[in-house]
Amino acid sequence: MAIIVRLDRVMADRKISLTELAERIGLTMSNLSLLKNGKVRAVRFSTLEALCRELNCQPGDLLEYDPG
Amino acid sequence: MKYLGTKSASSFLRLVLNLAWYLGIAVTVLLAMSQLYYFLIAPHSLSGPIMLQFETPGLVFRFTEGLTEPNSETLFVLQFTLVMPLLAIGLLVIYQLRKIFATLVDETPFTSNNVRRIRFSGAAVIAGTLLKALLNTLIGVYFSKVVHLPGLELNYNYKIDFIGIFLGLVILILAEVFRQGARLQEDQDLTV
Repeated sequence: MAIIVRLDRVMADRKISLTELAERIGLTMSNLSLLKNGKVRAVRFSTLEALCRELNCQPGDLLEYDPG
Repeated sequence: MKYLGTKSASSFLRLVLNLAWYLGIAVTVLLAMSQLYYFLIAPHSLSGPIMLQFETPGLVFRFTEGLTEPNSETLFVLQFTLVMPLLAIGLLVIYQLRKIFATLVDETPFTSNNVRRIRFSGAAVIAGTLLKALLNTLIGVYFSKVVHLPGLELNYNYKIDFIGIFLGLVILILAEVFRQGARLQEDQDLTV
């Protein structure tokens, strides 16, 4: 897929674990893991909003478009 | 009334389908064994007065005279090339319905497997309808060959039950609706 999820990079910058983030945004570990590995088809605005709030970032920091 | 899940209409129908499945297998096996036994092992045990009988709603026709000797090979072929496949189609449809109803009890109906099962059932209903029409015609041919009574003229015909064809097409369309449902379900499952 041309959209790349950069969640792992932002999480590493913020030094936050998958378990802690999942707990804070109210998502299951397995769903957050799927999102981190880019294995999902869509992301809800509510999920994106919660991620941006907890990671103190912009949607553009989490998602990247790769035309190649 | 609860339609899906445990202790629902679906779970009751699943129970009925399970009973029909095991009963159907038992009847098919017994029928096949009895036919094989009479045809291969003891054809002479069928001796006695020749009689032919058929029923329509409200009427039973019984022929005890004016019959030519029934041909056991013809009866055997009718049994094994037409009745058995018809039973097999019925059993296959029941088998698919059992699987579908199991997913209804689990409340996960929109799966690609169910799409395949429903499509198979629709095709089987159409095939069974055509096969049944052929079987009826061959029974007609058989009757017209063995019954010879003065003043009675028997002619065979080929009539397709269009309700069966219509039902099969409706099931095939439902399979496509389920395909759309399965696609939406997959989208939903892959959305976080």
